[in-house]
Amino acid sequence: MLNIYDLEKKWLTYKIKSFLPVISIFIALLIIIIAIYLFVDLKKLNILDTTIPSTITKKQENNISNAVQESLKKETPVVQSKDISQEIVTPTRVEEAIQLPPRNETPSHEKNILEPSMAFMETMQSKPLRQTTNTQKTVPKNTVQVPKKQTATTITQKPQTQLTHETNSITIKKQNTYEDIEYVIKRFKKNNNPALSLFVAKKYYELGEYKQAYNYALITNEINNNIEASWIIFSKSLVKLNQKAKAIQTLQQYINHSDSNQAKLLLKEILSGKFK
Amino acid sequence: MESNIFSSSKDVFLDAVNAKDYVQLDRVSTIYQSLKNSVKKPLKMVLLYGKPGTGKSMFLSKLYQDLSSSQQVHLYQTPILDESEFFKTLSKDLFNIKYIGELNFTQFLVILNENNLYDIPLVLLDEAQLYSSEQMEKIRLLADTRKIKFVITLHKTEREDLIAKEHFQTRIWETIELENASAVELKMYIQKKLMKANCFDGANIFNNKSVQLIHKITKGNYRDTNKLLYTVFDIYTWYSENNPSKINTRQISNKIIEMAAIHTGLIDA
Ligand SMILES: Nc1ncnc2c1ncn2[C@@H]1O[C@H](COP(=O)(O)OP(=O)(O)O)[C@@H](O)[C@H]1O
Ligand SMILES: [Mg+2]
Repeated sequence: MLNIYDLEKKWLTYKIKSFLPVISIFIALLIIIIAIYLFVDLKKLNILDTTIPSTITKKQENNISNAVQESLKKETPVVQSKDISQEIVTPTRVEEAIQLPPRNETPSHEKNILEPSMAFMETMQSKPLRQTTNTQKTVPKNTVQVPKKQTATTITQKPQTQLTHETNSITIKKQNTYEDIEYVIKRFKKNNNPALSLFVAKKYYELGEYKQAYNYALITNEINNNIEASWIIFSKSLVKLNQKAKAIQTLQQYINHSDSNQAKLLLKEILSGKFK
Repeated sequence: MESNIFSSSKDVFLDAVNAKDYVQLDRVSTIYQSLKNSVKKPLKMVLLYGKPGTGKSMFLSKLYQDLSSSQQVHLYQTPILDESEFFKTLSKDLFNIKYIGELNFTQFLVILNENNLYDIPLVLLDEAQLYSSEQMEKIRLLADTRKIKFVITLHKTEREDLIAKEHFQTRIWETIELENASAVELKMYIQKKLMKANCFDGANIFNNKSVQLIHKITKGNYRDTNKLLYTVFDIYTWYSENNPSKINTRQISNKIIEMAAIHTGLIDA
C-alpha cells in the first residue's frame, strides 16, 4: 500500500521544487544588481564630461584633490604650494599652468563645463552637513550636545569651501584638466577601463589635441567597440585632422552596425559641412 | 514494540464519527453549549453549517449521545431521499406507527396532529444539503407545526449558502457555523485525541513547530488532519519495521509529515 521508496523520491523533488522560487528570486536579485552596476557604468560613459572629473577627484581622496585643494587654499604663494604637493604637481606642469592663460582663450567654454562640476563636488561636501543641522535645529532641540557638535563641524567645513570658491581661478582649472588627464592615464594603464581612455580622448579633444584624442578614442574602441561616444570622438578627431573621408567611412560603418542616432546626426553635419 | 506504538496511534486518526471519540476543545465546547441551549428553547430550529471536515457530524452524534438519555432524539446520518420513505421512517421512529404503502406529506401531517407527544421529539439530520429543495421546504413546514424540532447540518458551499438563505434566514432558525481549527486548537485536538486512546508516546512527539507544519498543510481541517496523521503513523510503522535507524522516536519529523502530505495529496509534488 505504502511505497516508501517512491514517496522518498517524490519528497525530494518536492523539496527541490519548493526551494526553486527562493533560488530564482536570489538569481533575479543578482541579475538586477549586476544590471544596475552595468547601467551605472554606462551612465558614466555617457556623461563622462560632468561625472568623471568629480568622481576621479573623489576617488583619489588623499592624492590629487587634496593636494590641489591644499594648493588652492594657499592661493597667493602659488610657487610654494607646488613644491609642497610633490607627487603630481611636477614643475613642468606648473610651467604649463603659468603659460596657460593665452591658451585658455580658444577652448574657454569647455573649461566652463569643468567649473560647475567642481563646484558641484564642493557643495556636495558641504551641503549635507548644513542641511542636517538646519533640519535638526528646526526640529525640537532635544539635547543640547548634539546640535553643538554638528555646528562645530559645519564651522570647520565652511571656511574650506569658501576658500576654494574664492581661489577658483582659470589657470588652476586648466591645470586641473591636465592633472586629471595625467592621473586618468595612469589609472587607465593600470586597469584598462575604456571609460577612462574615453575620458582622456574627450579631454584631449576639448583641449584641441586631436591627434591624442584620436589615439585614445582608437584605444577605447579596441577595448570596447560598442561605445557610441568613443566613435563620435574618433570621427570628430578624424575630421579635425583633415581626414573627412575616413571619418565619413567610419561613421557609416558604425551606423550600419549600431543604428546610432548620434552617429547619424554627426554624419549629416559632416556631409553638409556644418561640422568642420 | 515501537511499531505497536505507531500503529495504535495510527488507528486514532481513522476517519470515523463516533461520539465516544469526541474531544473537548474550547471553541467547540462553547459552540456545543449554545447548541444545547438552543435545542432546549421552544420553536428553535438549528442549522449547523461549515466546510466538510469541520466536525459537524461529530457534533450531531455527540448531541445525540448526550440527549438521548433525557429526551426523545433521533439521528439520521445519511439522508432519506425518498419522500415517502422519509415520512414512514419518522412516523415509525417518533410515533411507533408502521405505515404500509406510500406516505405523503399531508398524510404525515395528519399523523402528527393525531399524536400529541408530551415531549417534543428532536430530529437530527446530517448532510442536509443532499435533500431536494422541495423536501427541505416540507421539513421546514413540519418545524412550523412546532411538533418536531430539527437540527440539520449543511456543507457550506455557494449552492448551499443559497439554500440556507432561502429556507432558514427569514425563519425562526438559528444558525451555527463551524470552522477549521487554529494551530493551537489543532495541537490540543491531536494531543487530546492520542491521550484519550492512551497513546502518550504518540502525543509527546508533537511540538509546536510540527503542529504548525500540519496546520499549514491541512489549514486546521479535522478530516484532513486525520488523513495526514493516519499516513504519518503508517509511514512511521513502516520505518520501525524496515529501517528503524532512520527515525527519531522522540520527535516527529517534518520530512515524514511532508511525505504523508504528498501521499494523501494534501500537497502535490
Ligand atoms: N470535537 C472533535 N473531537 C474528535 N474528533 C473530531 C472532532 N471534530 C472533528 N473530529 C474528527 O474530524 C473528522 C471530521 O469531522 P466530521 O464531523 O465528519 O466533519 P463534517 O461532518 O463537518 O464533514 C471526524 O472523523 C472526527 O474524527
Ligand atoms: Mg459530516
